Amino acid sequence: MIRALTSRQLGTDIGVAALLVVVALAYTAQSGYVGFADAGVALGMGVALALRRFSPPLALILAWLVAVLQMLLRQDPGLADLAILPVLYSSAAYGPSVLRWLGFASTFVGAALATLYTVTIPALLTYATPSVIYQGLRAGLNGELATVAESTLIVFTGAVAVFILSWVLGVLTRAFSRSEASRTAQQAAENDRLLAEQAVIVEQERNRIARDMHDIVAHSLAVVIAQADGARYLHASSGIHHDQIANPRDGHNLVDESLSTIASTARGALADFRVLLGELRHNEPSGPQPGLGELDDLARQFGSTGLTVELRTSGVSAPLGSPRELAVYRIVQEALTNALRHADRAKPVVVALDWGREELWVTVTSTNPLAGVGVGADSALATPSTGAAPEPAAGPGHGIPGMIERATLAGGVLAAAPRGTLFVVSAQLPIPAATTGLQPTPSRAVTA
Amino acid sequence: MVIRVALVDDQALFRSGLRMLVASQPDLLLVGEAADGASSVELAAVVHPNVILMDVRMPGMNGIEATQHILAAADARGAARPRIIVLTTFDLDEAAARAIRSGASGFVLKDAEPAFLLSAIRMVHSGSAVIAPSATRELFDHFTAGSAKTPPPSAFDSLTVRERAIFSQVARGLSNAEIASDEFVSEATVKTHLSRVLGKLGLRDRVQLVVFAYEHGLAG
Repeated sequence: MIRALTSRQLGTDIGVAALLVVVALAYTAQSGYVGFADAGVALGMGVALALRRFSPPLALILAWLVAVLQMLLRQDPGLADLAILPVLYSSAAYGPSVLRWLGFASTFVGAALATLYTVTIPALLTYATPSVIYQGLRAGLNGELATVAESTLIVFTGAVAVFILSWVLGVLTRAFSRSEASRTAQQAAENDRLLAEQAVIVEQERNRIARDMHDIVAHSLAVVIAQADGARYLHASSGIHHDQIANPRDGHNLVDESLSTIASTARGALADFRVLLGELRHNEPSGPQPGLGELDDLARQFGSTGLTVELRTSGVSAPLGSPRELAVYRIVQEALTNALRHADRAKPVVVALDWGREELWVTVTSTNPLAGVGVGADSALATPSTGAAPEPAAGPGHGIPGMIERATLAGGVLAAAPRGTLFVVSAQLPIPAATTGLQPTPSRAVTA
Repeated sequence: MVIRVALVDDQALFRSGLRMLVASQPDLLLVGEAADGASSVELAAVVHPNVILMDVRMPGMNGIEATQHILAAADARGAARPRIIVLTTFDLDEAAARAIRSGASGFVLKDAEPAFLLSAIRMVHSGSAVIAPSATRELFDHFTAGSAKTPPPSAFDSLTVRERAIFSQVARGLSNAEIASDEFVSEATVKTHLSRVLGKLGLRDRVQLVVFAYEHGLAG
C-alpha cells in the first residue's frame, strides 16, 4: 500500500530518518567502533522510519526484519531502535484495519522479544545457569531465578507501555482526522446542495421568463394575424371599408399585399418562438402581462398585507417596451416579497423609479433584516448564521438570483446588498433609443 | 343555410379580426361575442350558435369549463348541441386536448390560415370530417402516451363488420366522401353507418370517435 504524500511530507520524513541514522551512528562511534552490523541496523531502521507515512505496512515489516536481524547478530539495542515507536504510530494512524491490528499485536510480541533478548536470556545465561536453577529448585527456593523473573516482568511492562502508547496515539490521530474529514465532506455536501438549489431557482426563473416572453409575443402576433387576415378577407369579399382597415385611399391590391405580409411575418415569428419554447411546459393560465402601469396595484396589494410601500418617480418617463416593463414589475415584486418576509413592516419600503436619458434606475429600499436592530417578528432570521442554512425558502437571498437573471435578460444590471441598517435592491435598465413614434418591435424586445 | 357562429376570446382585437373574417363569408353569420367563459355560457343559451370559436385560455372560467357548461346546458334544454372549436396558441396544448375530451369538436391554432379556419367551421358544422385529423391524432398521441390504454368496452363488440370498417376509417381521419369511395357506397350510407356507430358507442361526434379510438388502443 502506497499513500500519496506531498513532497514536503516526504522530505520531512526522509530528513528526520537521516538525522536519526546520523545521531545513532555518532552515538555508537562515541562508545567505540562502528561495525557493519551497527551501520546496517541503523540504516534499516532509518529506512523504516522514512517509509512510515509513505507505506505503513512496508515500514512495519522492515522494522520487524531489522529488529530480528539485530537480535540474530547479537547487537545491543541502540538509539536507532527508537524508529519503532513512530512506525507503530503510523501503522495505527494511516494503515488499513488489518495493519492496525498487526501493529497492536506487534506491541506485545515485540515487547516480549525485546525483553527476552535484552534481559531474560542474558540474565539466565549469566546468573541462572541450568545447574544453579536445578540446585535452587531442589532447595525449594531460587533467589536468582526470582530476580530474573522480576526484572523480566518490569522490563516487559515498560516496553509494552511505551509501544502501546505510540500505537494508541496513532489510533487517536486517525479518529480525529476521520471526524475532521467527515465534517469537511458534510460541509462540501451542504455547499453542493446550496449550489444546486441556486441552479434550480435560476432555471425556474428562466422558464418563467421564457413563458412570459412567449405570452407577450404570442398574444400580439395572434392579434396581428387575425386583424390582417380579417381585413383582407372582408376587403376582398365585399369591398366594404371597415374602419379597422388603415387607409381607405390605399389601393385594394396594396392593402391586400401589405396585410398578407404582416400576417406571414407574424406567423413566422410565432413559429420561431414555438420552436424555441418547444420543451417548455405551458400549463399556467395566462392573463395580461403586468407592466409599469401595474406598479400602483402591486404597491396596494402589498399595502393590504401590512407593508407600507412608497412609490416615487423622478425624471421623464419614456417607452420601455413590454419585456423591460415586465422585468421592472417582476424585480419590484420580488424585492417587495423579500421585504415582506424579512424587513421591519413598521418602516415603509421605498420603490423609486429614476428616469435618466438612456437608463432607468429602479431602487427598492427596505430595512436590513440582518442589521439586528428593530427586526421584530422576524428576529429568528436576525443572526447571519441562520440566514441560509435551515430553511432556504426563507433565506434573505432567495429571490436575488432571479432578480439578477431578470435584469440581465432585459439588458441591465442588478445589485442587492445591505447598506447599513437598510437593504437596497438597485437595478439599472437601458431605455431603448427613441424610435419614430413606434413601439419597439417584438423581435428587438426578444434580443434585448 | 347560414351557419350561426359565436366568438369567445378575452382579446377584443383578436375577436374583431375574426369578426371581419366571418363577416366576409356569405354562408356564415356572427351571432355574438363573449370575453370570458362565464358570459359565453349565457351567450350560447340566448343566441343558439351552430359553431362556437372558443379560446382555451381565458381569465375566470376557461375554455374547457365553458365547453362543458355549454354542452350540458344544451342537453338540459333538449336543444341541438353547438359544435365547439377550440382556439389555441400552442400546437401541443394539453388544455386543447382536455377541451376535446370535454366535448369540443376540434382545435385550430390561432395562427392558422384563414381558409383553414373557415373550412374547419364548415366541416365541424356538417360533421362530415375531423379538423386536421393528423394534428388531432398527434395531440392525443402526445397526451395519452405513457398512460395505459383501457380495453374497449363491450359496446364495441356489438359493431357489425361494416361498422367496424367505418369506425377505423373515421379514426384515421377520413372524410365521409373518402370513406364512401373506399367502401363503394354512397355518402348517405356512410352517414347512416357512422351515426349508428356513434349511437352504439355513446359518442357525440367523429372527433370523439378519434379520441375513443386513441384511448382504447383502436387507432392505427
